[in-house]
Amino acid sequence: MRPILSVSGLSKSFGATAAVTDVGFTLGAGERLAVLGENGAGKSTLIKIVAGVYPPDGGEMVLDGAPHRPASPGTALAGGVSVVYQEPSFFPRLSVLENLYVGREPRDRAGQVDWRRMRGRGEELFRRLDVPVELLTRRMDALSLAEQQLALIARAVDVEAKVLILDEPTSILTDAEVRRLFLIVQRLSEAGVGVLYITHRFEELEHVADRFIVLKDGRLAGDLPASEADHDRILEMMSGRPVNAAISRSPARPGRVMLETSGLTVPGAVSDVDLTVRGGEVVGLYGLVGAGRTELALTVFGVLRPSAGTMRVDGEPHTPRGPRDAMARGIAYLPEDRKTLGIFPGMDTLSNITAVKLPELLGRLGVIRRAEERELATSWIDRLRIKAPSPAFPVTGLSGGHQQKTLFARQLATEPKILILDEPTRGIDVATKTDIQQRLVEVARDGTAVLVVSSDLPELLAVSDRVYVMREGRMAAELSGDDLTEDAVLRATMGVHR
Amino acid sequence: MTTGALPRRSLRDRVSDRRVFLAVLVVALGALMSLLSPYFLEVGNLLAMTQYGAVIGLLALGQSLVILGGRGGIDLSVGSALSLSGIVMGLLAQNLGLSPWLAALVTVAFGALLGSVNGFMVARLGLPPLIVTLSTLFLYGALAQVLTHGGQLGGFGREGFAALGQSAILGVPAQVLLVLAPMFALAIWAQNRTALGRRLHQIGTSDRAAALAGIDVNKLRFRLYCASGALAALGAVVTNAWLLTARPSAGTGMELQAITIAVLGGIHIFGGRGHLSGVLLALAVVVVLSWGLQLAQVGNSVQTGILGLVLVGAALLNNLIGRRASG
Amino acid sequence: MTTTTVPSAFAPSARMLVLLRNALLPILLVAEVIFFTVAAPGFLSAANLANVVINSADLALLAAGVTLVVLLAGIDVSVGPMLGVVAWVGATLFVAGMPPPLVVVISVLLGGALGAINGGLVVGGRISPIITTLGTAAIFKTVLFILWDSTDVFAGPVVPALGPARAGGVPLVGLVVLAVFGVLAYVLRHRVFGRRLFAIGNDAEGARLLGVPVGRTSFAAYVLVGALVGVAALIYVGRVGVVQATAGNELTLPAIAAVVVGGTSILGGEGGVLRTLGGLAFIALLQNGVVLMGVPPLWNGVLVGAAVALAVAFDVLTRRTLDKRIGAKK
Repeated sequence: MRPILSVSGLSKSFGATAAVTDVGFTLGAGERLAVLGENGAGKSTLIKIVAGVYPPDGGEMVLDGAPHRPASPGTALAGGVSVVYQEPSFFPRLSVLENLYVGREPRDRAGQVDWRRMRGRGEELFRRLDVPVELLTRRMDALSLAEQQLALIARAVDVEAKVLILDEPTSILTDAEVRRLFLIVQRLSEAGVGVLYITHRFEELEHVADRFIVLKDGRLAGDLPASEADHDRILEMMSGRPVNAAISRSPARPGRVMLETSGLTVPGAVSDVDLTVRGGEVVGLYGLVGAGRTELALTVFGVLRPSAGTMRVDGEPHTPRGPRDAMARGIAYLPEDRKTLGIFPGMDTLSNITAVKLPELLGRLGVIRRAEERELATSWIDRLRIKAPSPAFPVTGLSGGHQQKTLFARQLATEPKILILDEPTRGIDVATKTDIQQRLVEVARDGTAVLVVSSDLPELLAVSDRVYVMREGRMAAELSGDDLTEDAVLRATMGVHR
Repeated sequence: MTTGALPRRSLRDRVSDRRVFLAVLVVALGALMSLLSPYFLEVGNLLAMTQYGAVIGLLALGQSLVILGGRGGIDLSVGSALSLSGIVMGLLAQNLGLSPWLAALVTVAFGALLGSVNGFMVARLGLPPLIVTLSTLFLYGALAQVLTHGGQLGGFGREGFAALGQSAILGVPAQVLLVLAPMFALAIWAQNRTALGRRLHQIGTSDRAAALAGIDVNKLRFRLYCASGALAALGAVVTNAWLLTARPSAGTGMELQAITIAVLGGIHIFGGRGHLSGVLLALAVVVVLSWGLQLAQVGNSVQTGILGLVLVGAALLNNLIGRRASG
Repeated sequence: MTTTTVPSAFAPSARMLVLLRNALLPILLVAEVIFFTVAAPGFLSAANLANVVINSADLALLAAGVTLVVLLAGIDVSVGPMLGVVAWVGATLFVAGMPPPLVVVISVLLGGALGAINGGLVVGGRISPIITTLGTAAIFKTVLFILWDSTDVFAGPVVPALGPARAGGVPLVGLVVLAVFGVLAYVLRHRVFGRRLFAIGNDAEGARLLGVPVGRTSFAAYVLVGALVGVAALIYVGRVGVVQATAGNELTLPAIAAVVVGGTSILGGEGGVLRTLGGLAFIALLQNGVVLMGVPPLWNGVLVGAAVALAVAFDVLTRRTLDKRIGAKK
């Protein structure tokens, strides 16, 4: 295979921290190469060097036979390196069509932006990728998360790319869209494009990779063909020690019904949903993005108002006027988007942990009892093994996984009766993920009613005693015991009946 | 994904650096001024200096609270709110013959009302603070002119009210000892020790996360604008006690000074970060600088420009410190 | 938070709502004209309207400039004092006998240079635009004060097109304004520079990742604001006839108001100069109509301040409601 991108001796440090050290690999034309590694292993830095965001401190890159030393993302893009970043980056107040062609608008001979040609190319592209053409005229911020991600992938694909880099593109896509994406990757690879694919999902490997490399602490820890992609072995390379990925789950002894909804309806999102969660059990809530899962959770938490139906908490009617009412009833909610809904970025780890618990730590005049607060934060840092040098360490200095643990600690510190977790492990590394999954099962076994919203099916199957499946705002299935299988969940999700 | 680049020093260290820097700057400026002018260190001059600082200190405090509250928070209307409140107090004291002390109380409440207009439009209606307070800057300033037909009001030299602005206790001007110092002490204490301070930082850094943590974000933000208005009115009360006249242009241009002091004090313009004790030190820097320029017979109009330079310089400095710490 | 996906069967109706949303400002304008035509005699006469054009031409160019930086998610509150500085220099050179075309060129270059100071601080110094321009506004005020040095500069229009001259009843400066707005509207829609402004205003970091030269474009926008201020300064001289110590200060707020009332998003990346022209017309006609109705001039500031606040509130709230409807129907 002709090499399209080869990299050798690549290094990059930020201050005293080495993010990438002496990394080398070769990507062939038409090859699909998966890049694996925990958060902080240097994957994103590696990509950003190739994409021209960071200049490397040392090392060589050769793109299609010529030295590749991009001075900016723009020159890298012009050279044929196209990237879909993990954080969707788009232009919310522009139309989808304009989003597609930012920075490379088709121009006529007079140098004017050629709107007709742009429109034509956009339509052709969307047809080719099987994306609804009418999306083109919509404003980007009027699209769902998954539609936005599809548009971004379309944008990256439309570039005459030699190398396409996808940084965890599937984390917000639904299964159908993921399959569409795999097909796109397949076609590009057949056309000779080299694909670098970053993922945390092992089950995707066989679909998207011919070969994979593993990064650990910024160094190359492995480079193997996909045929040798054995999950245990990859995990071992990523963490440097054998990991038992399976979590231990003792049988549930469900107690009283803690949360119950009946006929719950939220306009445009949730229709006529019945759901119960008992103390001591973990209940999973699965469905496609946009199926109404998050809206259901937000309704229970008092953020959204139902238009019909009832909710009961611990047997009592529950009609929250806001999150505070829900909290007063012992409900805790871990939101899906850590960055915008979770952490307080300017603040230290301590006050991030105690944010919700704070009212109980106050003396007269609203003065914070500081010793007590510090003790509480320290105990949670220890219990969840949050890697923070001190409670006063800025939360944004923690890795993504440990930020998530901090938020988990914030909710657990309130000793909730009902704990709702929305995508608790999205985009975090495997070790931390397993850790959080294990904890949430333990919390349930201590008597808390736990409701987990997740798009990660293996995760739900691993932690849940029962699983609800939502589809287009309605409850499509409730599965437990022997009925709770991957196949059954997927069938319910797709609306396929036996 | 965060790269492994952890800052070596904690956030707290960084902030205290800024305060150390400001303290050194105050001393250095003071030394420079006393070298340039033998009058600078005379007790009487030091007093006059702090008298001047009391008013803009109150405005800077309100401004800092609003900026800390985040989401582009800024209050451009503080100067005009001061003018209008001062005029209202004049109307109460002169035209209605109200006791100046009582008029002062009513005026502070009126200032909170002016602030609540900003607060309502920003927090309840979700309009951009920059535009909202720019239009109230215009509105309040024009109202002050309309109410007096461009003239000035008095009626404050009764019942010992002038003592608030013109006397000194143990050598410290009354408005500093009885108004500015308690206000700053209270605010700094609240910021560091109370739930209110914590919530202020929470809504300032992420108001969506704060809402999910059970904080009534809109209510708190609304109150910040009310506080800013009330503090501006308090500034008007102090001004009236000091000068014994209320002019419709009393507060013109003061929003610039207030923002300058807040930014120089290390309040991050995007909210949630910065310490009110830093603002107090920045106030000292600006007061020393202004007074020194006054002694050097540099006029007010030129001082405006120098303040502009200080504002831009302080912002550059913020960025330099921020970049060094994160890089 | 997650947006919901619902099949787009209601698309036509959503399009109607979008149309309605965009038609708000024209509707307001028509209502205003009808009101003043009834309430203020002489409002709807050619002579009066020509006056309005002549009196707001300098403001129009400032507002056009401010639109560019607001599209970038920036702001420029220094345009008024900047105009004062350029007006003083232009008027002084003109009075000293410099050839008019040269005065025009120098004014535009000086404005561009002052704009470059703002651009340099925002782009190179990474200072937020509001702080930068608050600071430079203060500096420009002082510079004008020092230049003025207790002496007013009296001057007439530098060239006829930048003064109150009319051709067949049509004010020439109105044609200048229309030409500037036409060119800017074309640039924003059909030139790459214009598209870049929109992209940067939406997400500067994202634009950079796609190869948009963010720094260069933003800098150019601030310089362009300065150049527009340069032209506006000469129109100001032609209109007022004298440059005093605080010349131009009063123009900052109305310029920003015109942009915002016009509906260019203060968040950046949405709007345009033609909207600003609409917003400007709204404000200029309001000021004019109020005076014709016999309200004392002191009240002018109150009414305009209130009108701006109300217009912004009305606009934002209506659009939010419509957006919600559009979102729900999506």
